[in-house]
Amino acid sequence: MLVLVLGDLHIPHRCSSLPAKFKKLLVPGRIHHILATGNICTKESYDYLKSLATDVHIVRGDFDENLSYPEQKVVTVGQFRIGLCHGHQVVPRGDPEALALIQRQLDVDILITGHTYKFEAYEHGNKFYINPGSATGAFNPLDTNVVPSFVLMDIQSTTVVTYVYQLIGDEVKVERIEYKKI
Amino acid sequence: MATRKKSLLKVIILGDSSVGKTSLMNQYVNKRFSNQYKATIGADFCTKEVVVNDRVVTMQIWDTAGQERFQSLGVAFYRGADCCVLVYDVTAPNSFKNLDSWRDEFLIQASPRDPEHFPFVVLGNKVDLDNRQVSTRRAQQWCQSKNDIPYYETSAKEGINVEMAFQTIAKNALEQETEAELINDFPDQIRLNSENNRPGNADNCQC
Amino acid sequence: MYPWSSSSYGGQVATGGQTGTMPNGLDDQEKLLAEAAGAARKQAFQMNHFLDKERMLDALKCASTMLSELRTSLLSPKSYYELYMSVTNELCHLELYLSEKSNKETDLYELVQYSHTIVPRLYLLITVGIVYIKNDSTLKRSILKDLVEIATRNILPDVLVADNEHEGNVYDAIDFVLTNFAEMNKLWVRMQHQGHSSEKTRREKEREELKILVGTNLVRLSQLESATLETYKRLILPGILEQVVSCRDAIAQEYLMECIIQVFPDEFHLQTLDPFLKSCAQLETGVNVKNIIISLIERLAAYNQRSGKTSGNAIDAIIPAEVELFEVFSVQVANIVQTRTDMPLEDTISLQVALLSLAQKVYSDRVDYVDKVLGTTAQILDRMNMNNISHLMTVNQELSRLLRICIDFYNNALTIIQLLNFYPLLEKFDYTSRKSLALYLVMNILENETLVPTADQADSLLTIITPLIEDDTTSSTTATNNSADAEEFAEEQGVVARFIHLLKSDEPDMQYKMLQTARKHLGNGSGQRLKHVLPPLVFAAYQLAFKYKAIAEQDENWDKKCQKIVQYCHSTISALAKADLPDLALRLYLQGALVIGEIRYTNHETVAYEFMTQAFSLYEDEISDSKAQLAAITLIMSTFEQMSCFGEENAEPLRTNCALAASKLLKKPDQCRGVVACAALFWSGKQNGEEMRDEKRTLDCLKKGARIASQCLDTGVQVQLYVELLNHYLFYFERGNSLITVAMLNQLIAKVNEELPNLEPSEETKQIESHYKNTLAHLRSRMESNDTALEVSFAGITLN
Repeated sequence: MLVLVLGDLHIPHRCSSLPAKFKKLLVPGRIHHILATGNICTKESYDYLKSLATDVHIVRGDFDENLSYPEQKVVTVGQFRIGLCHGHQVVPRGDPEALALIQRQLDVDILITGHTYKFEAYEHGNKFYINPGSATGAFNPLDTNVVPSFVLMDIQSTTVVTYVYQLIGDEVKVERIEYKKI
Repeated sequence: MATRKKSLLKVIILGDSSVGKTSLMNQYVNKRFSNQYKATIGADFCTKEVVVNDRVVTMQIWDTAGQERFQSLGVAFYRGADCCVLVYDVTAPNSFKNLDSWRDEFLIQASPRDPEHFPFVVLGNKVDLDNRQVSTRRAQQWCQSKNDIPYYETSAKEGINVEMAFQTIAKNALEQETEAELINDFPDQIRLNSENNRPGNADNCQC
Repeated sequence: MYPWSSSSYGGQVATGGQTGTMPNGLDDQEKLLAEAAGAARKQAFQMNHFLDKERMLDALKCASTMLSELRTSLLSPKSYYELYMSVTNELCHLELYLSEKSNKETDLYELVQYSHTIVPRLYLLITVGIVYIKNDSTLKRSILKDLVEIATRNILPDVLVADNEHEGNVYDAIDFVLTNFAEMNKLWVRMQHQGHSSEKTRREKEREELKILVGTNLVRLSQLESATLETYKRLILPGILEQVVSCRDAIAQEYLMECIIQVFPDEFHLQTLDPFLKSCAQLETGVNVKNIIISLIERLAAYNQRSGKTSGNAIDAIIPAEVELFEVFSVQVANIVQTRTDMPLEDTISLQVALLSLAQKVYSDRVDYVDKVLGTTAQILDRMNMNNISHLMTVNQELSRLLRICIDFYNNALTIIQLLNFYPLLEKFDYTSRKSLALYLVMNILENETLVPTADQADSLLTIITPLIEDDTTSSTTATNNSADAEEFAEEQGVVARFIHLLKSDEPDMQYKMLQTARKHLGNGSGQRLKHVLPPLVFAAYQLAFKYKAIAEQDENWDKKCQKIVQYCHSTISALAKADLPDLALRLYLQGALVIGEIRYTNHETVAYEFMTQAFSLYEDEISDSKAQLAAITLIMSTFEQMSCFGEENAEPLRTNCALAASKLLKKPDQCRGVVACAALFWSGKQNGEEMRDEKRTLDCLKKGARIASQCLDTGVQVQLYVELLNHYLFYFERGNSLITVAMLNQLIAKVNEELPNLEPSEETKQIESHYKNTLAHLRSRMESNDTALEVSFAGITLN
């Protein structure tokens, strides 16, 4: 089961489009679910995600106008409960212990958040945390060197293999991180 | 039964416009090639004597218009053909795709006795160009699927394989001819007097 | 004999009284043809039989009888042609035989002349004549002359054409074929005027079927290999054109011009463009001259590409430099447009499209040619006083195509703005079409990611796309509330917004100029437009500020420039606030405060403070929805928590304001969560650049939250808040806030333990239960942990 995780696109506020190299990688028909951490911003971007997979889940980012997106969401994929939240509500921003509060509240195995524009994937208190970064490498006042990135999760029963795609310079680099549910 | 010492073989060349039908004919008959492109209008033929199986035969080669708007008044001349040559341009994939419809069109219009075994020959022309788009394998596969049509890759410009291809065409046409003679279409009734009594004939024509 | 001259049109005009001889039904035709063909086949069989037996005279007699079948007036032209084809096919056998025997049969030429009727006699004469010529080319001239004489006298020369005549004197051949062509064409044209006028359509159809026979004459001429370019220029083309123009028949003219284009080689056309195009101007009113010209242009453009491909030369080397292809076409097309006043405007425009594609295909680097076509088109419209051309007019399509072709061809908007006539032509359209063309251009820019590097270029492009930026001033209809329209509008504005990011110069000063230019253009739109197009400007300006900071060492004025940029942002955001977009403006102010805090130019603290207070006043004055309020205050707090640029005199009022605003939220649960979030300001929020760690005020926030929670009447919500509070207490407890005691935690745990079992079973309750369970599990793991890094002791916590 392939799950695409991405967010903080900020099109058209902060950039004109997804990097061409990413668009080439993202082909319709291969991805089963999409989990978007927010700041999708426009209907076009949403429609684009819909064209990649019919099952799209989105939570609201601080620049999302669409009020119908929820603040948080729980999606079950295989044997995993996955929590989704943009993360601008979390103070201090991106703090692992503060994120753990949400993990406990949502009662999830994996918590996915965005807002920091920086890819992260780590285990904390036996739970798995993923931040896919910004797929467009959108401008961020607190970090002027944002690397565009997104995550692909391959979920097989009790194992998640996470592939992170990062556009470094002009090249897409892929890393692999594995997480097993206990 | 009439046994002619000398045969006239009728060959029709078909294919999309500018694949080189006229050029192939010119190369074969006149050993000439011109880079100038002149569209063919309607249909026209050239003749050439060839020796096949120690027999001298005359090949009547009909060149046709590839562009629809210039296709001939009717396709009367398809009839009585002994072989049909289908030509495409190896640098133009569409001309290859259209071979199917040219073949169908011929079979419908010429309505040969045994369409399954009517002799066709396929020529992939312009192999001298370097921007080839249709692979030999693809063309061969198509030919095999159509009852093993002989296939040649030619260049009218450089004269590559032209002579050989037309030898095959003549040979296959001759076989067709022989078969046709075995079941010769005798007129239903032979009347030796040439009097013609049909009404309305020549009644208002003084010439 | 020509098919039509022996059909019912031949000789006498078929009148209504002769119904019996009229080829009426299709069935009749088939029957008649079958009979005639059958009779011919019988004779052919006999003929071949006699030939095998070497009985020459009998064979000739059969041939003559077979040929008599052509003496019919019953067949339609098409059927007649079919019969003719099968009969002449059989004659080939005779010809073959004669070629072998002719040495012995020297008097054949005389012999066949005794045939009693003209038709068979002629065919036989011709057949024998051809054999003679083949065997002895010295006879060629005299026989040909003899035959031509009979032929022209009897108007019967087409069979001779089968003779591939190009030895000896090619001029005879040209002369002969041209004469034949002229006669044939006259006959063909005459068909149009025979018979009843009600049968016009049928006649036209029959003429259509016969045109190939006339065109074949031109093929013969093109096949004369010894006819040089010189001959073509001097004799062949003038001869053909004279006949074509003078026959004054639209069907013939249109077809024959097309034939000329197709049967003669490109090399000839290139040298004879002037006479050919001049003749085009003289054709009849009904002739579609546009198609003829387009056909020629396409052919020459294809030739250019084909030759370029095979020879591998540079494209422009293919068509000789002395042939000024574009100029010649340009002048002649103008001439045609001027003389043919009856030509529909669409056709005139189509001709311009054809000229444009010629310029692009053959002279791909000549932007001036393309521009000239656009200019000419604008002039044509000017002359006709055409303005505000409606998108509903047919001519609009062709005109739009002209501009779209330019966009597609260059795939570079920067080249488009080099076309000085592009915009003037665009201005001739109505708002709707200008808008769709503008959209087409912007989409092209986005697809090709064309970067616009200068303010002048940005200005030109923004001018072209004005219909996407401003409302239609000429029409009173305002945007409807229709949701489909709204969606389309949003999409289109999104495209403009994306485009703004492609205004990009490596030169920061130029980038700033570009942003100012864009601001000037985009600021003219209505509020609904500003919402989409101003935020990208603000973010682009923020990025530019960072760029200046990065080159601070090279540019001593970076500080001042940053101030200007921040001013630019401030005024742009306040335009959004004025356009009734407080949520958006608030967020942009907060982003700005972060940017300013990071850049730290002179005076940055005051300006950052100004940005924060702007956000606050928007929060207080403009945002009324409770959900939006909670979201806004949370954002303000989380932004402030990260900022370290403030001194205490600015930080303190901001903190207090946050705490106050949170406690004044309308709903209790919102109040509770807001106040608890505020705790972070006093803990990890900065004081003189360091985390504040104010234990007391952090705890105060938590306590206040607990008090508000206790006031909630809904027990479900209350328990939920208690669980959340427990987590927050724990968070600061673990972080080492020494004022938070185990007793406080125990108290909260006890409260939840007490209330939780009383909740109605529901989905919400289940969620609270698992939240609580997870919290306890966390606590337990901490209590059992041997991690020495943990600074606080969990001893004394009672979980049950």
